[in-house]
Amino acid sequence: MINDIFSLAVPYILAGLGGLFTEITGSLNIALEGQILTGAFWAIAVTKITGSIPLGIAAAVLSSTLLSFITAFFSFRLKANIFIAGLASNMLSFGLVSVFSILFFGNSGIIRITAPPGYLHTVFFAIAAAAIALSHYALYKTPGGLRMKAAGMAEDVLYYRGINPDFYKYTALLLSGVLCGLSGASLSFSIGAFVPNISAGRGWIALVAVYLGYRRPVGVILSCLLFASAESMSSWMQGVMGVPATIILSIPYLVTLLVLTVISIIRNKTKTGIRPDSSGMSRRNF
Amino acid sequence: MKNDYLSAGKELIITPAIVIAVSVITIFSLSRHPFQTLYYFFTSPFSNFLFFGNMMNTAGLLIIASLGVTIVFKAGMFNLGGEGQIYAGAFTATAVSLFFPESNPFFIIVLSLSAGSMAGAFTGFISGYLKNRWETNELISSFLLSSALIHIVNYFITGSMADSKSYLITTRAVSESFRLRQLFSPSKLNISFFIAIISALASYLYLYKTAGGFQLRETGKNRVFAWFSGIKTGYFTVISFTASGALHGLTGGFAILGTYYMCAQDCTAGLGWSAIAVSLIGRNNPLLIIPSAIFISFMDTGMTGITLYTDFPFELNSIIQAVVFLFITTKIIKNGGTGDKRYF
Repeated sequence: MINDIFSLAVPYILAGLGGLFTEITGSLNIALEGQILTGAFWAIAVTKITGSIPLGIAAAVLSSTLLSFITAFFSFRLKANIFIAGLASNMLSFGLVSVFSILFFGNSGIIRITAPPGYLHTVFFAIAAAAIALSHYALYKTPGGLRMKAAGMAEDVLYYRGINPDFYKYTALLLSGVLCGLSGASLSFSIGAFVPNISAGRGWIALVAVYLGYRRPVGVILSCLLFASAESMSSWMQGVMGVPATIILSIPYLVTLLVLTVISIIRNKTKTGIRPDSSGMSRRNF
Repeated sequence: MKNDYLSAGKELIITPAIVIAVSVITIFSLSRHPFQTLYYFFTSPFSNFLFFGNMMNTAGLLIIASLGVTIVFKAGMFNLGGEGQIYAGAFTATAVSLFFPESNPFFIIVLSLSAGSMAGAFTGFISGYLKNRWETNELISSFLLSSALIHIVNYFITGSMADSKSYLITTRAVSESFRLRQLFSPSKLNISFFIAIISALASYLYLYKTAGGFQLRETGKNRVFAWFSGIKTGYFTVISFTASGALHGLTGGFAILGTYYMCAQDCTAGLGWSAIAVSLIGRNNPLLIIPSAIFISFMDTGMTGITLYTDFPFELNSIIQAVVFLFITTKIIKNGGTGDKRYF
C-alpha cells in the first residue's frame, strides 16, 4: 500500500515541482497537463521506434520543454495572456499527439511497448528524489533561486538592479517543461503504454498541490503524497467496495477540495489582522 | 473608459487580422489542397442558413457563458469551473424536462432552464462562499468542484439515466414540444441568441450604470479600499460567483433545449474554456464580448466546414485552434492599454 502510494506520487511530484518553479516566478502555468501528455507520448513513441528507453526519456524531456518554450515565448516575448497561452499549449499538445500518433502508428489509440524492466520504476523514484533535493537547494541556497523568487514578488527590484526578470521566468517555465516531461515518461513507462488522455488531470492537480503546499518544495511533496493516497484509495474502493468507475474518477478532486477547505479554515483561524485583504487577492498569491 | 474602447477597438481589428493570417499559414502548411481548404474555411460559415445559423447559435451560448466569466472577473476573482457548471446545468435541465409529461411546454421549458441555472448557481455559490468565509482560493475550488461534477454527471449519463436504445452514451432525447423553436430552419438558431444579447446589454447596464455594479467593480479593483469605504465586499464575492454559476448553468440549459436535445457525454465540453477566451478577448466588457463571441464562433464554424468539405483531417482542427489561441492575446503591435493583466 505504502509502496503503491509512493509510486503513484512520482508523476505528481515531478509535475508539482515544475509547477512550483513557474508559480514562484509569478506565472500561472496551466499547460502542465499538456506537457505531461506530450512527455508521456514521446517517451513511448521513441522507445517503440528505436527500442531504447533512455532515448525515450530524452525525447519526453525535449518535447515537453519545447512545448513549455512555446508558452514562454508567447507569454513573455509576445506578451500574450499566459492563461490563454497555456490553454493553447494544452490544445496543441492534444492535437499534435494524435496527429503524430496517426503518422507513426496509423491510429490515435493505445500504443504498447514491450514491458519495460522493473528497475525503471526505481530509476524514476530516484529522479523524483533528486529533483526534490535539487529544487530545494536551487530555490533556497543559490542566488538564482533568490532571483527567481524576486521575479515573482517584485519584478521591478530585479529590473532596477540590472537583472532581466524575464530570464528567470523563462528558466522557470523551461524547468517545468523538463520536469513535466519526466513526469509524463514516468507515467507511461509505469504501465508500459501510452493511452489517450493518460495525464487525466494530473497537471491540474499538480498545480493545486503547489497552492496546497504553500508554494514550498516540502509542502508540494506532502500534497502530492496526499493526492497519491487519494488515488490509491479510490482504486481500492473500486476493487473492494464496487463503487462505479465514473464516481471514482471524481474522488481525487473532492478529496483535494476538502483538504483545501480545511487548510484555509485553519489558516484563517490563525491569521490576525483585517479580513478583506484575503491572501488570494494580492497580485502574486494567485 | 473611452481609451479602453479605443484600444479595444484597435485590438478587435488587429487581433482578428493576426488570427486570420496565422490560420492561413497553418492551413497552407498542413493541408494538401490549401486553396480549397481556405475557401471553405472562410466561406462555409456564410454559405448557407445552416452554417450561419449554427454559428450565431454557438455565439449566443458563448456570450451567456462569458458574461459569467466577466462578472466574477469584475469582482476581482476568476471562475475556472465553467466547464463543470455548464455540464451540470445541461444535465439538470435535461433531467427536469425528461421528468415531466408533455403538458404546458412553456412552463416546462422555463422550469428546466431555471433548474439548469440553479444547478450552476449552487456550484458557483459554494466557491464564492468558501472564498468569502475562509478565503479558500476560488480558482482552485471552482476548478476542483467542476472537475468532480463532470465525472458525477457522467456517472448518471452512463448509468441510471442512460438511453439503452441509443448507440451513443447519452440520456433520452427531450420531447419535441420542449425544444426551442428553430428560427432559421434547418439551423439551430433559436431565441437563446436574443436572450444572450439582452443579457449582455443588461450586464453592461448593471456593471457600469448602477450603484451595485460600481460597488462590485470597486470590490474587484481594491478589496481593502472597498471594504473600508463601506462596501459589502463579502456580499459581492458570493453574489458574483453565484451569478456566474447561474449564467453558466443557463448556457448548459440552452445548449440542451436549443441545440443538442439530449445530454450526451461531454456534449458541452470546451464551451467553458472558449468562454474564458471570449471574455479575455472582449476585455471583460459585456458589450465587446458580443463581437468577440461571434468571432470565436466563426473560427469554430469554419473549422467544421473544412472538416466536412475537404480532406482536412479532424485532428488538425485542434492544432489550428491552438495556434489561434496562442496568437489571440499577443501584443505584437504596441498599444496604450495594458488590459486586465493584474490576474496573470
